[in-house]
Amino acid sequence: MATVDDLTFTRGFSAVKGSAFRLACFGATAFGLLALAALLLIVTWGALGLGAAHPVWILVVLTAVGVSTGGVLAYAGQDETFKLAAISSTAAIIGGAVLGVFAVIFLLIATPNVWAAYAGASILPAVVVFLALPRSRYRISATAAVVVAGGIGATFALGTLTSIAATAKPWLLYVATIVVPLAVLVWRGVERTVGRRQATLVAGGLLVAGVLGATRTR
Amino acid sequence: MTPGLVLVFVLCLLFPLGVLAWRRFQSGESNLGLAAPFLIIGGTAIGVLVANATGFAGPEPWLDWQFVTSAHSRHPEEAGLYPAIIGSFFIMMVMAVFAFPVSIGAAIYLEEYAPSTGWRGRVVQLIQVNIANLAGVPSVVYGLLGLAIIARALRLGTGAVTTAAFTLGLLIMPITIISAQEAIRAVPDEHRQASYAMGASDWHTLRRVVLPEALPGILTGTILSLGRAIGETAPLIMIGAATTVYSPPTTLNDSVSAMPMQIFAWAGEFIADFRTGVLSAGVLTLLLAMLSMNAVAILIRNRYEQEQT
Repeated sequence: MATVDDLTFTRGFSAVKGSAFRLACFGATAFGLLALAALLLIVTWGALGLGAAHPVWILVVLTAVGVSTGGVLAYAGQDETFKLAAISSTAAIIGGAVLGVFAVIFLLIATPNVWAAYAGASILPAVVVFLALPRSRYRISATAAVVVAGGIGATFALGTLTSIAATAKPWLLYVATIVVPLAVLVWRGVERTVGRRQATLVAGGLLVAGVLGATRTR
Repeated sequence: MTPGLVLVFVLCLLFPLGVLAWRRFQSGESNLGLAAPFLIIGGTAIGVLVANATGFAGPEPWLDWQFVTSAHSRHPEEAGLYPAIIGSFFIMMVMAVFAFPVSIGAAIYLEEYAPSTGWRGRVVQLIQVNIANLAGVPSVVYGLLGLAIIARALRLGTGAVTTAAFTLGLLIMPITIISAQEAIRAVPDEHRQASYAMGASDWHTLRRVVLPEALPGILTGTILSLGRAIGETAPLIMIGAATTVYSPPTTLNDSVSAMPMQIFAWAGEFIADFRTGVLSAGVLTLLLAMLSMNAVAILIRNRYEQEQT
């Protein structure tokens, strides 16, 4: 809560001191923001090679950025629901990008065959158990037990499992261990709310997009 | 990047947005606002297309797909940050596995279980003061510690992933402990008393009352400390991490470089393009990684705070 509000009554020297302090605080904030903005501007200018661009080119792009951003902000100013959704979706995209970088690096280190061995032995059976016990009070503990047991089993049989996984292409392993379980979970979630037909459409779409995405980026 | 990894990245990128859209759909809220970032990106893309169509010279970006997927090269236009990006995130992952459970466990013990009276209480106070002091120790000192104990005494190897992860883990542990302690301390005592009055045990109270309420603060502190660790250079120099590697590490014992180390190496290159364009692209990548982590911290905090209210 702000300390200075309409109920604060100060006059004379005290009011001057208060104003000076408020200005000093504002100055410190503005200095910090300007310093950060200058740093980002210099680095972005160099990284994007904007020094080589004609001023008209930059002006056109800046106008487009300004118009699109301004339009979104102006609409968000009038509609609180739109504003909250816009903030949430921006945060979700940033969060998704960070998650994606971590997932890619994890899989790069783990290698597709080792990932497929552990996923096939623990994650896929766990998804099956989770879906097979919808109302059981042991649902979470049974799923966790399958994950742990599968993980231990995969560790002991890693050589055999990785040699089996090596017969398939890496993209197919990712589709089988990530896209397929995800599509099943999505189908289950959507089916409960809006019906079987829509659920099949959404999950099928996800599956087809995953397969097409994996094969077309080769 | 292989097609499978592109698929995984795209799935992870769109997954939170999909969950958000589904939740809003279920609660009957309008999903129109979810299009906002795409409208801005689309507007920018149209702007670039129009600007290119005008015939005026466009920029010559250093930060592009090639930059984030290639290793360092002697030619600035072919240089990239890929092994260093992988190295940085690999170090972060190993560090998180080691440092966060220890830090949060220590914070829980110090706040919830540690004695506060008698000679044991004085020992706890001494530990608290030392943790606060350790948070202010310069990072280069942690580098020396890492070199002497982790790399040499424990023989984990100079410049290896584990050495870097443990050294940076030691560096962020005091900060994480203090932030987790603050978060646990902020849980009102009345909530604990109410839980005990309902017949809950210490463990139940901690698990069901204290930790869920303290979680936003704990997570914010841990992610912010990750953000600090990803930008550290001095400890990595001290433990002998390579300034430049040409392939990403794939095991815990591999030699590793990190984004700040590679940026430092580019700053000393003879060719001017390295010191201007390539360096700026590296710094912007590092800043984007840090700002994204901070954004995730804010997102998690807001989400848990909304759930609690």
